[in-house]
Amino acid sequence: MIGKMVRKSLFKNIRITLWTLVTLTISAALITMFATVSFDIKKRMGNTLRKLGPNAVAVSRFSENERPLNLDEWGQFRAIVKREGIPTVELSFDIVTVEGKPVVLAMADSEKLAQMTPYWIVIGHRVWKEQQCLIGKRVAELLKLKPGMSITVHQPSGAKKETGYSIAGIIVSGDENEDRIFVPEPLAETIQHGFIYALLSVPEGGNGIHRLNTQLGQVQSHIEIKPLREIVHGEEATLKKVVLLSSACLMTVMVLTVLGVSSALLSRIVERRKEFALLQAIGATRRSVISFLLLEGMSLAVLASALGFAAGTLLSEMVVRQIFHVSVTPQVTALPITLVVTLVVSLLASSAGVARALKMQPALVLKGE
Amino acid sequence: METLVIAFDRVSKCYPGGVYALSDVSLRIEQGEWVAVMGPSGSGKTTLLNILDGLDQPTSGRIEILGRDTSHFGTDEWSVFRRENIGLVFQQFYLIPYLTALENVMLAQYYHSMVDTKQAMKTLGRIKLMDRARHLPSQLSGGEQQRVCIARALINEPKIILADEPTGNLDEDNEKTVMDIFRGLHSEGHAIIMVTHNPNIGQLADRRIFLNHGKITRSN
Ligand SMILES: Nc1ncnc2c1ncn2[C@@H]1O[C@H](COP(=O)(O)OP(=O)(O)OP(=O)(O)O)[C@@H](O)[C@H]1O
Ligand SMILES: [Mg+2]
Repeated sequence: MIGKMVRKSLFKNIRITLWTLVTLTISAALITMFATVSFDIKKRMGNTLRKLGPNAVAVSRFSENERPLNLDEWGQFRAIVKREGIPTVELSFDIVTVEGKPVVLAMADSEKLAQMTPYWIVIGHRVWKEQQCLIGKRVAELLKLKPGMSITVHQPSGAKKETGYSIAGIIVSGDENEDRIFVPEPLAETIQHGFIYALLSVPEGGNGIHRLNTQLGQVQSHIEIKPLREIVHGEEATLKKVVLLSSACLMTVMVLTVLGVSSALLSRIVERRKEFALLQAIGATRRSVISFLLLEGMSLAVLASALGFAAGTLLSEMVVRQIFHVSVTPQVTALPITLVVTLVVSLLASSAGVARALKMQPALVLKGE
Repeated sequence: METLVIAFDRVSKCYPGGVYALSDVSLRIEQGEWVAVMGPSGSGKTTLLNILDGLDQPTSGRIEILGRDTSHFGTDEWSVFRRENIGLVFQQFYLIPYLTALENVMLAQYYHSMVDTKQAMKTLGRIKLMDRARHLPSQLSGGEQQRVCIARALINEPKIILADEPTGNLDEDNEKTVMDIFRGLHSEGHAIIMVTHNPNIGQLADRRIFLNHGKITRSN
């Protein structure tokens, strides 16, 4: 009976119902959006900022002594970053000659390197296969090389003294990498007096780096992770600002929603004061009047949550696509959050109307007119 | 004394501002009695009824309804007492606008105990509105609306029916139909307290009491 009444009364006062529904839906959509985006914004922001490059580098603590890294220590380091799932690319360097000219040779896993250097522009192919190499723009200019051509690398310290590669692509990076040749060797374990280091993309910036160093310290490693300062700071500050700004927006919207919905509900109740007086006259207790009104508010809130969740998910998809150029995964967990917050908003808004309904004196209201 | 349904003992109602709508009213109504309350406008008739149904509270005096002292009843106690024992009919035909005639009647059942469509239809049949059960109040004439209100008032078989000028907004034909219904209720043994300006209707009652400036001036 009461459910039917709620349904019919919502349809009867369709204008106020729609107004309330629209307001609640907007707030629900924003809650969904906020929840969806904030769930993976950290990941998103981190990934995006890291697209500018890695945010940390692993070096020897004794680098001033020019002491070459020992491969056991490197093994500990690898185990730790692997366990933590931190994207890493290991690079080893050597001086080689190509066509009689000295060049820095960098050896790295081609796919990992591609992940860590998204800012490179590569003419030709970015990921290269065995027996292929990438060469820096300046090397290409110096030696008049083009993608598809072949080179022979003379590596005095290598196991093989001479290796032939075909050029997969030319790197335009705007930095020292333009002077290098990259070949696909994960890590030249055979290297004798080259130079090894690793670039890392550590989640959570400074905190993450600190954690890694603690772990390295526990195994008395001689390897230390150093942040690439500007990036780490930029990442954290930007993240904080984004979260702060969006929280402020969300709070403002919620407050406005509560005000808007409560004034709509209030006018709805004032308009219908005869109805509530009548309900009491035919035997409804105050409790049943309250539950009737709350049920009305709750039904609207549930409907608004469903609509708002759909709209909010779409909206976050649009926003995230605009900003991060990726599509967002719809967050199912955003639904209960949206539902609960919308219910609370509608409850807060209803309470003004309910208080008003209870203050009315049935005798006076029914006598009016 | 078992047959006494209402006992007013020196009941007064003073509205804020010092208007005595009722002063020192004493009144006894027996079971099954039909009492017409008459008097000029502003004499306190509606006030008397509202104090009887608990929508308004007296300033002083003692009231017993169906053997219970109602002076200390709170809002909700009154709601419960009302739905068990009192049926209300107003001069305006107050119906819930978005519920059909049948649903309006069933609403009183709902607050009383539980809904029973069959019984609600039977009650609508009694006021000859079976064929209008699914109509909204706005699709009914004034007389029909008032009959729905009466059906709602008697659906839970209350011992007492209070009616404030139930025919005040009706034409003669409808007035007759409604009065026939009240006559039926009277013969079934409901106590009826009805406010009316119409002497002809007053004549249908067992007894008439006349109010003037909040006092009972005459009773016969
Ligand atoms: N809420 C109120 N506040 C102040 N005075 C009131 C209030 N309600 C009624 N009165 C006064 O109490 C007196 C009795 O009012 P009541 O409504 O009982 O009259 P009535 O006999 O029903 O009149 P009518 O025949 O016009 O309906 C009137 O003088 C009225 O002005
Ligand atoms: Mg009156």
